[in-house]
Amino acid sequence: MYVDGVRCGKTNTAFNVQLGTHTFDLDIPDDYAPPTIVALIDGTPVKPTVVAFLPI
Amino acid sequence: MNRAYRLLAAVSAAAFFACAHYPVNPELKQAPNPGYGYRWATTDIPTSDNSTFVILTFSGGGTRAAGFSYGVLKQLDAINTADGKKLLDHVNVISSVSGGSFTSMYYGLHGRQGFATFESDFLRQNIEKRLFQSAFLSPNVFKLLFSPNFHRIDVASALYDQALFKNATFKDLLAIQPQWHAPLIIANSTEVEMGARFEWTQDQFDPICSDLNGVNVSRAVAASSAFPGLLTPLILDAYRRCGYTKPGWSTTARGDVYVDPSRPRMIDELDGYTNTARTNLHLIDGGIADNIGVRAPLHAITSLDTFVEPTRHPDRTGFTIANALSRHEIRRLLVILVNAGTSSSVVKIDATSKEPSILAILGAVTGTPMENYSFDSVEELLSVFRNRAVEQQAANVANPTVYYPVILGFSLIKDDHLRGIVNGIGTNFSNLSDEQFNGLMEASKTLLSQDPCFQRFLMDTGATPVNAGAGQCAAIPR
Repeated sequence: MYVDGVRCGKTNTAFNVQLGTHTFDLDIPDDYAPPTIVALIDGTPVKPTVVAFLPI
Repeated sequence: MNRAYRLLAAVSAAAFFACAHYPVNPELKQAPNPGYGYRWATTDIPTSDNSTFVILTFSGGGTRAAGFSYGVLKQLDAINTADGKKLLDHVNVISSVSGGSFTSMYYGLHGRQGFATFESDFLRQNIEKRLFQSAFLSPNVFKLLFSPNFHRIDVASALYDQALFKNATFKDLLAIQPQWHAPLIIANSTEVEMGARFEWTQDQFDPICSDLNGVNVSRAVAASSAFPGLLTPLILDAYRRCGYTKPGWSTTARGDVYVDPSRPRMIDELDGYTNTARTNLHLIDGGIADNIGVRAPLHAITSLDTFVEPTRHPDRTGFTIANALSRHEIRRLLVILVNAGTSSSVVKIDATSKEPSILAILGAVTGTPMENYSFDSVEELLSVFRNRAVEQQAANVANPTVYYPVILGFSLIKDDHLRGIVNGIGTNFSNLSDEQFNGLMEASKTLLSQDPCFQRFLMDTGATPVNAGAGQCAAIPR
């Protein structure tokens, strides 16, 4: 999983991201949609924000 | 006739000295690339085993700060780690300001082999006196008088080269780094007009299209310790032709003012550095923006945002460890704040009803915000560490990262006599007396030995010797 172009963690796991608007993507292979998701992470210390990609 | 010759000679000499120029930082002759120049991504640190990650921050405070940070390095060199090395070998990053930058940069160049010479060539030298002589009792005085492009800070950086750094460049620093897995050295200055922190790495030089490889490290140290008034700002040239493009996050995060205002603020700084009207930067003491050097590491711990567009395959980023922390590749993070700020109990202004001098007021006006900001920085670091621990507990993380903050400051010294000695060392670049030098060494040893979080780190990692009586580290949940 890439956040703002930086490799940060794996899918289906929770990880820390600075609060704010970020671009998420899964890198190659391009077998998920959408290619990127821009999401606002606004502070969920206990319940993580879910960023969902779907297989294509 | 003689008079005419003398006049001609004087005019020629003035013209000669008027040509003196500060050493110009070279233009970057290629597109910015995170694989080039002295920066996080070009060291061997991101690709090494970082399960235990150690960061040191060195504050300002003249030779007092340089000596105190030197003492801490020597103490870390006396601690044996479970892998048969010394704790000093595990230091990954040193972020420094002002006086602390002399120690960090010299250590980055020479490692532990440089300990003896650093003491003799810097800590025991009256650099301030030599600086005065070099500026006013040498031909430099004519350069300063006649040239608009040669300043006191240029005399200082030349002296630091002569006395300590021997014209070493950042290219040399980069070449040395993998030879002994040296830490990344981040010397911090302040950009005068923007009031922004300026890190002497290629990450920061990319937006001004300049090649740090061709710059002497003495320039970074001089800028980091250019106390306003005593020394002039150090001038860098800004170029615009390398094709620098702002990283993608700077577009998406511009509106994040209510979620995390530090992101739009950093975009403002980036806009400032890339503003084509800005042909030069003017850099002064890093202490103005952050006098304890903790802001660069704090940002790297909490944020992926840098001035560098990351690359993939291989993964290269600007200086951040937030990604390694999110992946739990860093299992133990130790951050040691080496703060040489003094806490004098001497009452001067309030000992009389007289109006304080302008100098005393100016000292308070400049010093108080710096001290308050340093205090806030420490609070923020502790808060981040505490929150991370709580979040990991709440999420039942299987192998949580342990965050160890270690705060070393003179006010924590319990022995009145020792505290009096180190607090009594002025903020200047005079030579340390035997008593002052030994006091700083003793302070380093005592503070590390009594610190409960440092001792907890040693116990958790199997390092020795351990002071089992240091007590409970309140920053780490039980």
